Amino acid sequence: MDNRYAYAVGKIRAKEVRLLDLPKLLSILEAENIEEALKGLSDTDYREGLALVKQEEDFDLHLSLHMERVYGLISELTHDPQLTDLFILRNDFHNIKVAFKKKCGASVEEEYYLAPSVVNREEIVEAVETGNFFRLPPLLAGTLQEIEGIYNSSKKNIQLIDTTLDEIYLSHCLQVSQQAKCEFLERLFLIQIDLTNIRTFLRLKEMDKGRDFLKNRLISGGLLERDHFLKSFAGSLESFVDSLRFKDYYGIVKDGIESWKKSGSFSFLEKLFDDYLLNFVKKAKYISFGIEPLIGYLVAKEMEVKNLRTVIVGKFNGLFPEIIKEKLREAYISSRNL
Amino acid sequence: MRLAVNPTRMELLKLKKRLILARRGHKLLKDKQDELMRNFLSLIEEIKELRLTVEIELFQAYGSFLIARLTMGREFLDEALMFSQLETNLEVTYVPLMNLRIPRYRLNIEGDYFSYGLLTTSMELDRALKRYRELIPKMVELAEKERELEMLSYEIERTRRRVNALEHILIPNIFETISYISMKLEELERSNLTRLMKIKDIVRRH
Repeated sequence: MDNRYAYAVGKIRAKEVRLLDLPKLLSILEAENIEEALKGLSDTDYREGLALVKQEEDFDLHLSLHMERVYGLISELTHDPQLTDLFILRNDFHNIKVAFKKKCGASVEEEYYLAPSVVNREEIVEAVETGNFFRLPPLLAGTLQEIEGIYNSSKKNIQLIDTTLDEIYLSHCLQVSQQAKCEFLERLFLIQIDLTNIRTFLRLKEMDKGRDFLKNRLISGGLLERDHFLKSFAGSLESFVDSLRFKDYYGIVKDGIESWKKSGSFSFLEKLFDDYLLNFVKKAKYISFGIEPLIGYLVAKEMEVKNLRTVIVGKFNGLFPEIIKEKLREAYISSRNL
Repeated sequence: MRLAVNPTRMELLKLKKRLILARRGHKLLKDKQDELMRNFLSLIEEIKELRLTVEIELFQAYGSFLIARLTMGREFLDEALMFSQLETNLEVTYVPLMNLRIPRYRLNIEGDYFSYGLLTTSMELDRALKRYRELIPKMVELAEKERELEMLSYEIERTRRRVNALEHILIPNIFETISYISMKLEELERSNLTRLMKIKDIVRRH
C-alpha cells in the first residue's frame, strides 16, 4: 500500500466512472449515421474538439490529442515518473522508427510522429540524421547505436530494426518495473512480451518464415521461454496449443486459433489477447492506494480509444454494425459498476 | 461518284488494275478485321474473368486492410507502411500482332513486403499485405490485357473504316468510272465506224 497515491487514486476513481462502458459503445455503434455517432460522444470526455471532426483522419487526431491529455494527467498524478513514463516512452520508440525510416529515404509527414514523448522528437530526428546520439538519454543513445549497427550488418533490414526496437523497449520496461519492485507492472509487461511472442510465432508461421527468422524476432524475458516457441515452430498448431495446456494463455490461444482456422481472420484472436490484458489490469480496481489504479486507467484508456476507433472508423467506412461489434474489446468498467 | 479522269483506254487499263488491287485490298482488310474481331472477342472473355477475380480479391484485401485499420492508430499504420523492402521492376517488350505493337509486361518483384515491427501492428495487416502482394501480378496482367483490348478496338475501328471506304466508296467509284470510260470508248468506236461507213459511201458514189 502506497499512501502517497491517496489523492491520485481518488482522482482516478472519479475519472474511471466516466470511461465508456460497452452499452455506451453499442449505442454509438447503433447510431444511424456518423453525425449521430459523433453526437453520442458529446456527453463524454471526448467532447472537447469533437466539432472539428469532419473525416476519418480528424478522428484519429482527436483521439491522439485526447490520449495526450490522459498521459498529461497521469504524469501530474504519479509519484513514480520512471514507471508511468514507460508508457510514454513507447512514443519515443515509435518516433525513432519514423526518423530512421526517414533517414532510409521514406517520405515522412509530421503526423507520423507521436506526442507526448520523453525526449523532444526534434532531438530524436536530429540525432538519427546526424548520427550524434550522445545528447540523448543513455537508453535512447544506446538503442540508436545498436540499430545503426544492425542496419549496416543486416543489409539494411528495416524489419529487423523495428523488431529490435520493440524488444529493447519491452525489455527496458520489464527491467525498470523489476528494479522498482512493482509486481503489477512487471506482470503487465511479462504478459505483453508473451502475447507479442505468441502473435509473432503465429504470424511468422502463417508467412512461412524459417526458424532462424523467428529466432531473431522473439523477445526475451517473458514467462514463456524463447525455446518453447523455437521447438514448436516446426510442429503443427495443435501441438503448439497443447504445449500451452498448463499455461494461462491456453484458453485464448486455443479459441483464437480455432476462430482463425474457421474464418481465416486473426481479429478474434487479437481481441482475446487484448481482453486478456485488460482483464489483468482490472485487478487494479481493487487496489486502494498505489500506482496500479493509474496504470489500470491508462491501459483502460488505450483500450477504450481502440474501441472507439473501431466504431467510428467502421462507421466512416460503412461497415455493418454486427461486424464492428465482433471486433470490440471488453470495457474496463461494466454498467453494473456505476 | 465517278472519278475525275480522262476517258481514255490508258486510264481504263489503269482503273481496271486499281479495281483488282482494291478488291484484293478489301479482301485482305476484311480478313484482318475478322481476325481482329476473333482476337477481340476471346480477349473480352479472358478480361471479364480476370477483372472479376481481381475485383473480388481487391475487395477482400481492402476488407483485411480495413479490419487492421480499425484497431491500429493512424500513426502506427503510417509508420508500418512508410518504408518497403519490396522492389518492383516492370519490363515492357512489344510483340507484333496484325500490324500492331502489343506491349507485354514482365514483372519482377524482389524482397519482402514484411518490413514493420510486430508489437504495434495488427495481424490483419499481414493478411492484407499478403493479399495485395499476390494481387500485383494479376493487376499487371489485367492492365496488359486491357491495353491489348484497347489497341485491338482502335485497330478494328480503323480497319472497319478502311473496309467500308473500299467497299462502299472506292470500288463502286472505280466501277462506275470504268463503265463510264467503257461506254465512252464504245461510243467513240461507234462514231468512228459510222464516219468510216459514211466516207466509204461517199467514195463509192464518186
